[in-house]
Amino acid sequence: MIRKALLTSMISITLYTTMIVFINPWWNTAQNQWHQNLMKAQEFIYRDTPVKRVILGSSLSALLIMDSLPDTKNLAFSGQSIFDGLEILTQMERPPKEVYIETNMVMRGKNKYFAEALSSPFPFPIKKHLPSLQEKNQPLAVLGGVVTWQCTYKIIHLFKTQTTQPLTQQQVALKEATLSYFISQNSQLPKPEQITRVFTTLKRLVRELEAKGITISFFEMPVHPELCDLPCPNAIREAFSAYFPPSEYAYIPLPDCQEYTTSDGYHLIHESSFRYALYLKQHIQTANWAYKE
Amino acid sequence: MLFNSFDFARLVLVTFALYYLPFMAKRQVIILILSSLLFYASSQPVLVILLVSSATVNCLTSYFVVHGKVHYQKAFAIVGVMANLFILAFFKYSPLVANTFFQSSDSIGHFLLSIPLPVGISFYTFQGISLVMDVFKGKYTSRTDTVAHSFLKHCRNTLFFISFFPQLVAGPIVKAHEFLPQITKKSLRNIDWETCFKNLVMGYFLKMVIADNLKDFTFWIMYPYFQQLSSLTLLVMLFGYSIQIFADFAGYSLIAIGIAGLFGYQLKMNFNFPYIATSFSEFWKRWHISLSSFLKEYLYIPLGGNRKGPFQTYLNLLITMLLGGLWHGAAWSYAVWGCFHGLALAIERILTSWFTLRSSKAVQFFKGILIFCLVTWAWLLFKLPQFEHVMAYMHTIRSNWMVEDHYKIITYCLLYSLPVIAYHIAYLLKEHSPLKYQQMIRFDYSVYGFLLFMIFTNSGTTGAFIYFQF
Repeated sequence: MIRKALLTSMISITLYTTMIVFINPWWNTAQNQWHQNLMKAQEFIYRDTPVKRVILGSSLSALLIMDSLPDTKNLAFSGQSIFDGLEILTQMERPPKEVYIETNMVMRGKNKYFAEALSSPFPFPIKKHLPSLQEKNQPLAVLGGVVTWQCTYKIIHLFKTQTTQPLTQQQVALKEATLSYFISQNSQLPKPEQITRVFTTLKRLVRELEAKGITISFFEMPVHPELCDLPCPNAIREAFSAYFPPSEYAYIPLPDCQEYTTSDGYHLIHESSFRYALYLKQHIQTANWAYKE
Repeated sequence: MLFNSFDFARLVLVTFALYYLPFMAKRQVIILILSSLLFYASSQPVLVILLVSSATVNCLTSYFVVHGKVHYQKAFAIVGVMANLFILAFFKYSPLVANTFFQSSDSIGHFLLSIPLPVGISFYTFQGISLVMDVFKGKYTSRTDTVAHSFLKHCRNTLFFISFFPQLVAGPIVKAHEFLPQITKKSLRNIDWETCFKNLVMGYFLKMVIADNLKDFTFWIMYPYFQQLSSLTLLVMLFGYSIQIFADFAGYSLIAIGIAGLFGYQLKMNFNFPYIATSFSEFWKRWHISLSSFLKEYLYIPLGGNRKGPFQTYLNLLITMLLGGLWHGAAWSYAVWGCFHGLALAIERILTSWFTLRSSKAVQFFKGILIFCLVTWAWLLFKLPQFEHVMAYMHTIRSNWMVEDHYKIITYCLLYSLPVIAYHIAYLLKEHSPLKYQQMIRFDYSVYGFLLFMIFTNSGTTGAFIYFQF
């Protein structure tokens, strides 16, 4: 029985791998935010063509409309931090030429399970050559991608008409409460020892990348105007200036936050995300920002 | 060290290889003790001292219960049980006492909050109680069969019984009278490979494919995130959590049973398809069987069980389930969860004494659905330990019908729940159509082969077992 079961599993893997190679699922197979991050990282690691430019960040940058930024890969992970992206880059054999690091969520540490999850339960080389073992091709992810839009969406709409509803009173109150919470959080200064720890690590990783010939630049995503000029972001800006002096590193200046709209205080809505992508593109292309050698 | 980590696989392989070496045959128990201590030390090295101390207390008291002076035997048994309860209370419930009666800034409050929670303490202290009670009562086996004459041999057996690594951190809770008589020389040819293989494959499938994937969707049950989701999404997530908690714990238990089997030890089944239960009493005969049978044997029956009239029976049920709830965690929400189940058992007893429903298939089906819904609702107290958050969740279910549904959460929660539903249906088929089941079982290798395929291709990101926190 055991031998037959093992044989069945081997045959299943072979058949599924063949199917994946032929079908190459084009639909969105991301199951959730974590799965999406794993897929994004694996796609970046397994690609065969070199990348010129990489953006590292959190969910703030993950929402950038990348169509406006040619030759650029977005390695920003929702719910995670720049350190997860940095760890991947420091281990790359063919790194990009330029790296743009988001400064907003720098105080968020790296996710200790992320790097492990990328090579678990099979190591990178096996996953690279056996697409059926990659996260984006998980059988239930592939099936779920189809079921979500072909079944769930249609079945729910049979019973329930879902049009864009104006926000309920409770939702408005929730939004306001969320913004107030973010304001109160950002009104507190980060602990000096925490700043030292985070920026020492960042400095070390940046040095490692520079040793590989990568140019490092920093940018700050616009957020809700009430969150722009609070003690916490100001302290982070000061720390960046101290550890990465503007005389040595390039900074894309923060645009006027009033010109952008967010969904919850932090994350830009689609139009604003598109606008900021254009702003980034303009600064990257013309290099007219404060880049000092 | 998680069961689905490479470190654990290495530990099992090395232990297995040493264990069955011919010249190690006399040291099999010692090998398993060393592996168990290594396993425990990998997460909390210092607390190995506590584990060994707990084993020492149980070893001494149980030894003197059997071989001490007759009129002191009861006193030794009481000391043994109290020592176990003290260890459990001190390490597990100090934070609850601190949060309830002290400020965290008080020196006492600060001290109580700083006490670490040793992994698996609820399990190994219960096993210690079982050892002392079993030898005191001498109900199941002869006392001298359980407690060897040689003190050193008894020490070795007790430390092995308390620390055996497959069930050390999250059960199944093994009773002394079931385990100690099994300590004999083991050989490779006595291993039931097929049963071990089936338990391991099913266990790893439930844990790595079902529970580890569902956890990334049920994560959104957390306060305050759930307030932004639609009512349907919240209901499906709750259903998903119910499946997740089953897959997580039943998966762990099956892996533990499978690994223990590889070393020649038979652990009893801990889950028997609990979601087909059509009553609360049936549910507790199928869910976490080792805990419910422990509570019945060592708490409910000593309290008087159902022998002292209806009122005392209901009270005993309530006390047993309240303490059973608190056993799960040091928070009042667990006590509420236990009370809920105690009340449900009592009400069910009252109702069944008043009238009996026809046992048609339709009635059984609706009773099963009702019990599943109530049990699932109660799991919310596990996920949201603050009672006001539970109330907020219920309120959000009532008020968010017009909020847009989260199709992905709904789809994937249901997709990952399907195998667990199929698992229960297969059991029902076995019960009601044994012939059809016999025909199907001829192809069981294809099912286990497919489960293996899913483990390789569709495992979620490793997450700690939910019951580790208990």
